[in-house]
Amino acid sequence: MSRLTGRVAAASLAVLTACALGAGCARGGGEPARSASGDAGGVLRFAYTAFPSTLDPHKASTAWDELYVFPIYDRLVTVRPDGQIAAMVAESWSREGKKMIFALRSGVRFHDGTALDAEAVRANLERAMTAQGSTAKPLLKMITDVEVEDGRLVVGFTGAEEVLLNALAHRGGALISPKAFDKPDLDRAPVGSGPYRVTAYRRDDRVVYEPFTGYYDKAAQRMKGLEMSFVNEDDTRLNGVRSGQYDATLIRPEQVDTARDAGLKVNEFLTGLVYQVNINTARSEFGDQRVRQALNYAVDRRTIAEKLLLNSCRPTVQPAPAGHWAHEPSLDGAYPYDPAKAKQLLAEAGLPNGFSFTALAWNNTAFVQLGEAIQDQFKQVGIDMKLRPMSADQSIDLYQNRGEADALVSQIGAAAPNPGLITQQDYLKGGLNNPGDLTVERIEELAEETASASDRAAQQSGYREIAKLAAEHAYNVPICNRKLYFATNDKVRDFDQLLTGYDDIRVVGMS
Amino acid sequence: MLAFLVKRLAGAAVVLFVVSVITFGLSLLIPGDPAIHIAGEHATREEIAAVRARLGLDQPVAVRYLEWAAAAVTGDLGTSLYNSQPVTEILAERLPVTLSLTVAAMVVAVLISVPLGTLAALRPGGRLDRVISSGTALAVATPSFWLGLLLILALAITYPVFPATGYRPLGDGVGDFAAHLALPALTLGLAAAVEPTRQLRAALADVLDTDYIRTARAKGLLPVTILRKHAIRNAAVPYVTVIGLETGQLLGGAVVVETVFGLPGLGTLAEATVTRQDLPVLQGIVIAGTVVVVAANLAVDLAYRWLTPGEAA
Repeated sequence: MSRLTGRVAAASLAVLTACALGAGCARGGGEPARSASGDAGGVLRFAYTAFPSTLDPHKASTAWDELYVFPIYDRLVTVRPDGQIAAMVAESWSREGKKMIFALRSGVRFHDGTALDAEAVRANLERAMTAQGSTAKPLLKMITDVEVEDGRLVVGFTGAEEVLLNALAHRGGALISPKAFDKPDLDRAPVGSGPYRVTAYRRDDRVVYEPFTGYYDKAAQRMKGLEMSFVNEDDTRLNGVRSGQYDATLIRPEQVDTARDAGLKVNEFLTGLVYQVNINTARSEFGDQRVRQALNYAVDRRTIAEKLLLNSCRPTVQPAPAGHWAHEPSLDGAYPYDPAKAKQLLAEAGLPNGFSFTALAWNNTAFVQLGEAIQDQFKQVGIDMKLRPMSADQSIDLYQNRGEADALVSQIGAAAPNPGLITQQDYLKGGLNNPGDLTVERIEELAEETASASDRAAQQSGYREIAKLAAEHAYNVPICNRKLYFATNDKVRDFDQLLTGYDDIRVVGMS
Repeated sequence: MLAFLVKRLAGAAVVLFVVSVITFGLSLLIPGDPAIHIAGEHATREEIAAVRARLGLDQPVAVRYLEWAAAAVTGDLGTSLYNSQPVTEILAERLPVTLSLTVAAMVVAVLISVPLGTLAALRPGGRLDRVISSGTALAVATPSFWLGLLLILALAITYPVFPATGYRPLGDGVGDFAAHLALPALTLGLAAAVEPTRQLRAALADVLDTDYIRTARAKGLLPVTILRKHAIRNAAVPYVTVIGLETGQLLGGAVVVETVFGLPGLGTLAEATVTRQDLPVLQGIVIAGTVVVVAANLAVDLAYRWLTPGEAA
């Protein structure tokens, strides 16, 4: 489980890594990602639920930072709304063995006028991989070396090329003007080469952007400006859109009707964020597969999704949402609500009278209510789950880092699921979200094979097989995939293009 | 007067010291670890430990406090754990918003409490007094977040007279500034008017029942003149005291009101800061709030001396 995704990513569009892993490589050339011709309309005023930790993309520590930094920082490549890798600063690329060679657009400049050439990209990757305080190091760990040869960038790497390209499309590959590397206020006065530059920054309030006049691709500048405001209160954000102060915002499921009644468009997005009871297989009775399966049969996912979460969540037993390439369709009917089966499995495990354990739960209303609903359902089969609400930090520390908790009611995944990351963190020995080190030989093998596969079909087959095995072994108790809802007014164009989990807001336009 | 001021300022310094120690101690009780936030979502345990060491979070509490306090007395409140911004700069951005809101709410409270308190005192136990008493009871029982949402619905959405959210600095124009503050100030000021109204009513009713007021009436002075020249000033002492005490409550109430109206003040900053455990900023917020309250109390003391020169002497 990614630490912060889970923390507040509840409200995040953000994607931790490649949403289009294996989506096929738009090899060489191609237009920069955009969905329409440049038709710079008005200023988009977007009220959001989080403020970035920093505008330095290499030091960003939260998943939603990309929403704020992508308009400022171009990357070598990007991910189109349809999931395809597309050119951005790199004009073309080709693979030679374990090296990827990028030819860059000519004449591209940073906001401070510095030329964006292969040397500048090399310096950026170097910084992202080695600078003190860089949080991008783990994202670029597949890169072995970076060189400049004849004006081209040569990146040595291990593993699949699509993993590399996806990493370069995210914040680890964001390109900062090398002259600004040591600028003390880079975290709030960024210098990139993207279509927008920051004109005002007020911490925990708003970031204001204006189009960068020297940008090479005018068609990508579809807004006259952008104002990203941090408004924590749900009603305040929606009221702001209703009164015309904002154009778009994230809303709660309960606010959907209100937004529609107010004449706003509601955009729905099924994410890879999964409500889940994480179970520590080294504690309580969870070492027994039958007990873990019993927990899965004891949960009435449909009732929770319909009654508690007002259909804002789709029942699931796997991280990849329906429609995602890694989603395993045969699991859609897995673990139906069956208390009798749960009791039978408990009896077979030598626990005919049930057992007791303590689950930590993130101490906000949504997770506590979810925990209470699950607690009630477990009680029906004789399982006494005691709830201990706790801050996300503290619970993650206790559950993941120290392995000192039986279970944790939380959320895993990212808006755009990354099957590779989920596999690594949830199912492999030593995975962050596998504190009991539950090990299934076949999953370990499949994970290794699939991570290095460059063929989409092979990846799909591998991750679907892993999902089946993980469900069979009942690593955890997934409940449902969350949906996110955004309310927009009629001036906002193509907002649905943003609902991919890849947070490049430049795909949105304004009339 | 100078000796009085020096004495009060020395007292204020002690208050600031005690508050800073308490805040530092309380902040340590917040569960979680800021290093986990800062290290990022893919960080290993070693990387988290390195962040902890880099930020000095692995130092003993006493050392951390003393280092902070030594810098603070020189005006350096440190730097945010999350970015390079100095705490003083962050406070300078936020304090004007909260002060504007507090002052505007205070104005609302005075505009409500003076006429209502006076009217109620004119005939204690009368129908108007009972209506005002009931109204104040209702106002004090009304949660500010609910009132705020109601005002937004009525005056920003149904009848779009005022903006629903946000803040505009005075530099953007007085009209814009006032329009954005109107609903938050009304929300905060309404609750803040309750206690001053009651105090003024009680004090004024007492004064109006005294012999010298009866003498003034017997001399045929107009009721307005009696109020203005003889009654209000004597009844003002408890009123001014309560108004001063309200400052602290207004700062506390600003946390909720700023959240409801999306104002980028100290309240919303405090909320975000506690969540992130950005201790230097949190300390700065509390110190700034304390300074404002201490300054307000000092102003009340000075006003008290002005209103009762004989007692002060």
